[in-house]
Amino acid sequence: MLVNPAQAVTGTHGEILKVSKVTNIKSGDKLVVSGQHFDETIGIYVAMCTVVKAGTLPSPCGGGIDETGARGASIWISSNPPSYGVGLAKPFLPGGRFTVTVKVSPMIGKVDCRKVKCAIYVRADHTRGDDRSHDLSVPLSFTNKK
Amino acid sequence: MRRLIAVISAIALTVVVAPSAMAKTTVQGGPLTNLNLAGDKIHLALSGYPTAHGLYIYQAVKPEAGARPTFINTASQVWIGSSPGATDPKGDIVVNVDNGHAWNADCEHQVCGLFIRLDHTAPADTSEDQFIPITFMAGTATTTVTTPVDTLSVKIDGVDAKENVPGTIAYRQVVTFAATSGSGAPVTFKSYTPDLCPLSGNTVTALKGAGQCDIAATVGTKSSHFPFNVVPATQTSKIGHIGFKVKVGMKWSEAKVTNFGEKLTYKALTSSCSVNGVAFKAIKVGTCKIIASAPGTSNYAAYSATDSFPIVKK
Repeated sequence: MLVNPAQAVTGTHGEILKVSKVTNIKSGDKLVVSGQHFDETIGIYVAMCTVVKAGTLPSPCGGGIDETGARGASIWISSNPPSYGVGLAKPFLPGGRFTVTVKVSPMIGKVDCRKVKCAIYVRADHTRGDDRSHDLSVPLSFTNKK
Repeated sequence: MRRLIAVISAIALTVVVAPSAMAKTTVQGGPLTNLNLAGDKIHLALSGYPTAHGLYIYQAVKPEAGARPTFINTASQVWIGSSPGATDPKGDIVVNVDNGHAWNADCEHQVCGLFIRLDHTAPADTSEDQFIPITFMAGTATTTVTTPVDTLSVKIDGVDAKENVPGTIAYRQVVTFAATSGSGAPVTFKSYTPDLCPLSGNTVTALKGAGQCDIAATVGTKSSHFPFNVVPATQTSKIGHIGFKVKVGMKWSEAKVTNFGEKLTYKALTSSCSVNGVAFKAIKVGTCKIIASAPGTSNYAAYSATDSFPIVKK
């Protein structure tokens, strides 16, 4: 029996990003993405994106940046959002923690994550859109089986 | 006549800051009062300045005694010295000052001024540190409306609070403001440090274990500022609160994580009980002593606590 391992990575600020399943992922799988020791003064997005070179804005991402949270494609976590984000952004838990579920599809628009590398990304939210120092990713691999 | 008054005013506003016993740099110039909130220039002349190191001069909110400012107008900073790129200390030194809104301060209501210190070549040397207060002309940034100034009475967590007196807030501590005005008009609150200390209604929390926060209460034209020094929090857990008599053979579990989500590690310090992860078992009559520990971060210290209780016969 194959076991899908969880994978955790540690960022440069000591933050830990963990994804519940990283291999043999099927369309519709719900991945539990959790974090600890994140800087709670920095809002973040959690999304599945194609893998990009370090220092480059992760893009495209599943459904693009979803500031409204309505599409569920990316998840906004912030304890200090602008006034329009209050109620939309999910606050960090004490200890810089969060746990969210990301429902994934192998397709990001026309990009097929079975053919190109994709990953669960965390990045600073749009209030610090150019700040790449908080980018963190855990690579995923999709199964070719339907 | 007007010209004469203007000259007299300019002279009145020019201040000489005498050197202290430590022979700090003498700073002369001005104006230091009635500055324009929308932006103004202060012209300074220095004497008795150090030659082994350069100086920085910048606008800042008045620091606590003996400390350096934390709310700084970095755009105003002038580097003075003989190094390439530094401003000549013998010349006219111009510091651009403003209302502070761009750097999380409010110089219309807080005590702001010029801070002078040695430059980056002697970062820990405070022998040249000095603060020169400046004041602004009220309402110069906006249209002046003549209204009577209201009064404010503010409580923090139910205790009367004095404006501009730094309080303390720990990481993730929630502080509640309550305020009344003399006129009965509603009081609004604003965090001037919303990233570190966001405001939700009338409660504030700190999202890190270090830094400074500034919360203002405002009614009409009256604003009072309540600064906070942010400190690390204490990590806690529910270790040992078993609440029942432990008999030989009994099993129980302790908490998995602390209040900040750190994984708790347990050890049994006596042979009357054993532990596997968070699962405990009473082995024999005697005293069960356990220790729990969890790592810390810059926001909270590591956790360690012990508990002991008797194990009794079945």
